[in-house]
Amino acid sequence: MRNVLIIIKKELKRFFTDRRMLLALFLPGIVIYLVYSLMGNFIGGAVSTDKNYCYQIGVVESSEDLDFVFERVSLKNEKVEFSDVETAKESFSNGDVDLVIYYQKGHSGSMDSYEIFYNSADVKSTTAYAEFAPILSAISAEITPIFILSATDVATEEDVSMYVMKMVLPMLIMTMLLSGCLAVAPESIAGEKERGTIATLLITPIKRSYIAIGKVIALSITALSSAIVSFFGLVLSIPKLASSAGGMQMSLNFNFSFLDYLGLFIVILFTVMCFTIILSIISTIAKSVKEASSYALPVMILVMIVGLSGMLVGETVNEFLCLIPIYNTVQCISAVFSKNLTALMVALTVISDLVFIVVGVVVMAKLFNSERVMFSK
Amino acid sequence: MQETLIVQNLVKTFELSKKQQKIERTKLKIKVAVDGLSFTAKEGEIYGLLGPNGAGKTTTLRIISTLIKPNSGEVFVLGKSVIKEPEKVRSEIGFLTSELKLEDFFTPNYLYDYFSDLHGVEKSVSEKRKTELFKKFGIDKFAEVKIADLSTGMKQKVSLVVSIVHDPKVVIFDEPTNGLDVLTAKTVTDFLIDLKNQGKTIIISTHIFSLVEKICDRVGIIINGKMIVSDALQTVTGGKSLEDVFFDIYKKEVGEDA
Repeated sequence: MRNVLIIIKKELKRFFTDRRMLLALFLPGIVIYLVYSLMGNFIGGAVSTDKNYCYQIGVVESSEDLDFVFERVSLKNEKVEFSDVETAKESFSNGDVDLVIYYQKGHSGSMDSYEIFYNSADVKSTTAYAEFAPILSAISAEITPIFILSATDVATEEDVSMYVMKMVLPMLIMTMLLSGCLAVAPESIAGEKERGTIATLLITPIKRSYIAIGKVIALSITALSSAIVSFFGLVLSIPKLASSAGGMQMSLNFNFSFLDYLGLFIVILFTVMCFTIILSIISTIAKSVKEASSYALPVMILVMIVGLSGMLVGETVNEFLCLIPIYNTVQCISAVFSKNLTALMVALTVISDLVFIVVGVVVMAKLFNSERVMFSK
Repeated sequence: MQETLIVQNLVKTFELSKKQQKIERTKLKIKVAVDGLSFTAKEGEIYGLLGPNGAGKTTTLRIISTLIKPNSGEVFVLGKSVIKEPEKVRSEIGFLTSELKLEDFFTPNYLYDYFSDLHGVEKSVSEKRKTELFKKFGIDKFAEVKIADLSTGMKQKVSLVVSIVHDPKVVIFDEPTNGLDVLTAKTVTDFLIDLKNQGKTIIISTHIFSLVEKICDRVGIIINGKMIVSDALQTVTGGKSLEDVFFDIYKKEVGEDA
């Protein structure tokens, strides 16, 4: 164990005190943040609405409360009254009005209600919705609690970028985790082989399996910290990108519970270790960093495909699919976003990943012992 | 004197790739690098393996150092088998070859501590030994300079020191003075004699006759993977120069055209 720690310490020193290495590790995250933010600003500039724009608010059946709401709204607006809901909807789909508020007086016994029609793919519509909905819900709760407020989003499914986001996010996260590993694993193993420094390590009395474990742990820590930076780069830039792309920030919900975060973190941790093992084995077999990187390319493509399979994960997940390493990551990340990540899923993921990691370390130790692999020219 | 190293009937073959077959001008797929090689070395002596390039010297040393495994035969270092107890053998030997490199990114000081830790040397012992060795080889002057920025001679000195951090009883040096300037070469040979006087067993491989004549107590001549002679230097030379003796043996083994 002491020897494993010595190896870990040295590897971490290698990675975290080398300026070029740090750049390779953390630049992707910073670039993601900058590019996405910049993209967001450009798109934002293109679609942002004129400050003097007068919002057209369609109203079906006015009420006193509604007048009260209009008084409080700070947006410049014009009230357009409709006699029935159908003409209002028609006018709404033609883009003549930005929002439709439909007041329905409750019939004997039933409650009064407000329905709001808005389009989440349209900036003006979402801006108006964001302005009106809270005030309306506030007063309906405050004054007459018998109102029910319901909003109808008339955007078609394709419009909802959130949906796509949910599907793409697992792939993005997985690709980032893998790139973190890719920045360090070939350098640490194939690089040492190429430069002949690994032989110096193999001549020490330390067991080959300890060298393998030490390397994998150190690489995982490094890859994880790189992935965390990338992840924050992505998370911080999403609102900027989203706000410009049509009110997505309201639907993209990062409001997870502590347990969701914990589950996500555990899953990511084990995924990084799985990736590290795969890339470490590849790097052990490869004769040079260059060779290791080219062998890693198919792995990258495969991981992206597996990541995209998140699209196929429905709302109901088969928890036992979590027994497949790597694929279980997609399952779990998708589950977090649809808020149905269970402890069983995390447990199964951890167990199967752990088995995968142990087998990987054994394979690596075997490779480290093989003179054909370690000393091939 | 105790026999610290026993090499018995060592055989090692390599598979030749197509490219290697072309280089070697052979159609054989298997090359016998070491062919039934045996010898012993005692404590307090320098044993020299002498032979031309490709004779199997380096392969033999790599087997003794547990970096590669023999097809058959056995090596015992202080009674421990290289096949059954490679880790124990590794803690008893110091191996230095140009193939073993040090990471460019680190300083001699850091690498010394790192390898000392891996060998499980106690901190106080390690520090004392480091000060002595660094002073002896003049490494103290560039102890905090990254390996990448050192000259070849400096690197070689650091490699040498790192290979013996654990004060091994058996020291194995593959071509110890190759590529070194005269001053560094002298430091190294003096150090080998110093180690011998401390009672260590030293095995070197070389093709430099003068080096063998200067420092070796016993010599083994290897040609084509076979040990032709293994005896005390005086017995082998019998008053002639080692160079003449070697070529006589070589002609007898390989033929006139060699």
